[in-house]
Amino acid sequence: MSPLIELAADDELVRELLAPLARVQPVTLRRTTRRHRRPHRMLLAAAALAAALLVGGLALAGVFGPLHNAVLKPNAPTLPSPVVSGIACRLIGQSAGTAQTVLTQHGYQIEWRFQHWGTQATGTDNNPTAPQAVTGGYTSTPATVPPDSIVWDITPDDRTPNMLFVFVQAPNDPNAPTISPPSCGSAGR
Amino acid sequence: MAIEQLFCDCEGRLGRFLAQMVGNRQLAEDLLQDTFHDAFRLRDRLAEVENREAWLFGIARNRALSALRSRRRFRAALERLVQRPEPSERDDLELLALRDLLERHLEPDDRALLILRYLYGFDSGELAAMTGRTPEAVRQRLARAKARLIEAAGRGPSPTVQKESDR
Repeated sequence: MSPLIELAADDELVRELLAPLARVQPVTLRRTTRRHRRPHRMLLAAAALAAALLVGGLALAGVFGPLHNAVLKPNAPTLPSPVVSGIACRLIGQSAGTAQTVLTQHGYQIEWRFQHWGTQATGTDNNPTAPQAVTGGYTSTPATVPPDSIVWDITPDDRTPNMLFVFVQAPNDPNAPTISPPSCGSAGR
Repeated sequence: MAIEQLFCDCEGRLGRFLAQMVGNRQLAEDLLQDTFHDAFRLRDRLAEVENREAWLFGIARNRALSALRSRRRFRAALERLVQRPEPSERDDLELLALRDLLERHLEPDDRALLILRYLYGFDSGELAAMTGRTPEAVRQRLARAKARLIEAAGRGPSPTVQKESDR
């Protein structure tokens, strides 16, 4: 056998021996460039967080306001004058501007109580799980309130004649319950 | 040709070569990354390069040998005890046997030469450019490596050990 033929035979043998290496799968460059993916991931994370907060918020305590169907049923105001009691009763659920106009026309002074509703719903004794009111939050005592605030209760100041506490809430308070005006009868009509 | 295009054209072959050399896909990925990084850093020299693919393979080879040297120096004993084959290769007994044979009988430099010569078709001139040796030195080294492989594989000592230097 000539050296050239032997050489070719050796080369073929080496190729044959090394052939299994051809089955090795190539690796590739990692193209997961964080600069591009991170914002995407952050958007997804933010969306997931927002969804979780929304669901959590809705689930929290049964809920408030229109979303929770919590209902507040204030008692009918009891004022010294039955006539004014009837008038005041019908101001429940009306705007603060209307209440101010009507009550001052009847000689009353107003001390505003602005309710910032909390996030806790409460039930009734008969059905503790049914949201009937809202607890938590706090009441501020501003000198004036926005005219579109909603009146949800009116009570007299027993220590000061012709002084009324008028409780209002922001019309867009997300925690505010639905105000269910009391039955006012025929007084003051 | 832009360096990016060269990367695209050679990525598959380089990726396979590095995986063949180091037998560890994660390390091979790192080395591929390093190879392209090196090439990008040296891209100004590209205009003077005659065979750009061989140039890239030379960088990859250097990276692989460097990694293998480091691994051998610091972790060889431990790795032989704990090394596991890649999942994709576990059932390929022929491949596992070949890897074992190459690692036991050939230096990484010789393995690289054989692979580049017989699986990628680079001739002694191109291998010389990659390795910084003369073509003649490459031929002699290839011949010796080939003979060792054949002998280790039980195919008998090669009668043509010196003939490679004639090519």
